[in-house]
Amino acid sequence: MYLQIVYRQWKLLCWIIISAIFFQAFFMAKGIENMPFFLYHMFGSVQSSNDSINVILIKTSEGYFNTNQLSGREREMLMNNISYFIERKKQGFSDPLGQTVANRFKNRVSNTTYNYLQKSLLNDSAHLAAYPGWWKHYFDQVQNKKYASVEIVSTYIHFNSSMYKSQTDSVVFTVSNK
Amino acid sequence: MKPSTQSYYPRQLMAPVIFSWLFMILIYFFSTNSLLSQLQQPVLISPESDNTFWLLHILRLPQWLLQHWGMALAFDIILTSSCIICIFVPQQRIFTWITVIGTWLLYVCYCTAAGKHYAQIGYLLVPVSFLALKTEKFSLLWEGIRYWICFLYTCAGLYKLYYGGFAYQLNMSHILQQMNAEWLFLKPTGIQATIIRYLADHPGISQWLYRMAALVELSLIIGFFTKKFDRLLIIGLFVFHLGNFLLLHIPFVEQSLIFAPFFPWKKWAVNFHTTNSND
Repeated sequence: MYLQIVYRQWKLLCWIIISAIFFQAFFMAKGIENMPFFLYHMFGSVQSSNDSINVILIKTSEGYFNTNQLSGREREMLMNNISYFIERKKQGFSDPLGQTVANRFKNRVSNTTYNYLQKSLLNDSAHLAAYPGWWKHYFDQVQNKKYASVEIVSTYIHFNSSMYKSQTDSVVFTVSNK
Repeated sequence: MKPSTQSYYPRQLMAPVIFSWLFMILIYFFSTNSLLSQLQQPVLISPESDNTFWLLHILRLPQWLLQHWGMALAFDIILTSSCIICIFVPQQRIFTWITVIGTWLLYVCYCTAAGKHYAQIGYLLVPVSFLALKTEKFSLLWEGIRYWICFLYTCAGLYKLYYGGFAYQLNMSHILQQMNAEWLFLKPTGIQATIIRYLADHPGISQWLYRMAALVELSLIIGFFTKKFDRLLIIGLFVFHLGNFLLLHIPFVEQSLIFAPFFPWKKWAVNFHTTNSND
């Protein structure tokens, strides 16, 4: 058995592995991740049936920007954090992680330490206000054309053979060149 | 007379190959505007509920690297240079540490800025083994990484059984719809789009693909007991990731290093007359 061999040849590694298994089991039970151990279902759960799905699109003067022409990494960096931004916007620009930080640290550490932890782990309104500007800079970098103005819209795509989009687009933010 | 086999993994032969592979991954990061200095100083952070991310964010390391372009550029240069040094000078530990810590920091910074913690971490795990210089210890770490990868994929297969995805007839069809809605709207024609649409419209066929994928993941359990079928496991893993890429647009460049522990390194070492000088 692998662990027996490790124990015979390199005791320290063996104890590290056993401790890691123990701590990981504890944190898994608590629903807390410790990268590089994840708590993903890896597409294992039953996917519910929906008629449509919410998507984020980039609207330019030439129509919807085709994000498929970007690499997977560029698309992820551009599009994933928009959903994050929308969530914050919905909740009045408050960071939902704030509750977790409060649960873990409030009244357990001094006010100064607590403020420091909040600043280290949460986004404040200044970060969120600066976000559309950053987004435009990165967008300009990853595609060759510079658009004077770009609109980020949230909409729905309906599932059928043509995958048609709903008529209404809700604007998330508009950003223009200064 | 050359030996027919050897007990330990040939670290000297493997280090240049693995770090060249890692270097190519860093080139991929560069070509896709994903190195820290290319991110345009992102403003949002997303440590989520992850202790590793929390620790680094409390130390304010990701924020500092992301917010100072000069530091980000210096970081990219140091990481890339140390990776190159590891290719040409495999028998050292300092630059291996710098490369390993650097790739982990790059991952944390990228994920916190992107607002999602990605599971493609093959490029973080595999180089860790090279922190050990002695071939005995290196071999133990390398075997450990191999078991970890077997565990990871076996779990993914078990999840599909446990959470019900395997048995639900429409599961893959729904996954295809959800993962491809935007993609199909923006790119409605072409062979790939036609295949995806066909599979989404034929749940019976797509669900069998899902089940085959789950069986490939589950087959990694064999890796705990024998190395005889490693070649088949690599083929299975490659086809699995290629399928994910073509049907769900999940790239696997960063994850590709997980194939390395299944290569017949010992046999290659014997064939190439490589000996471990650091025993």
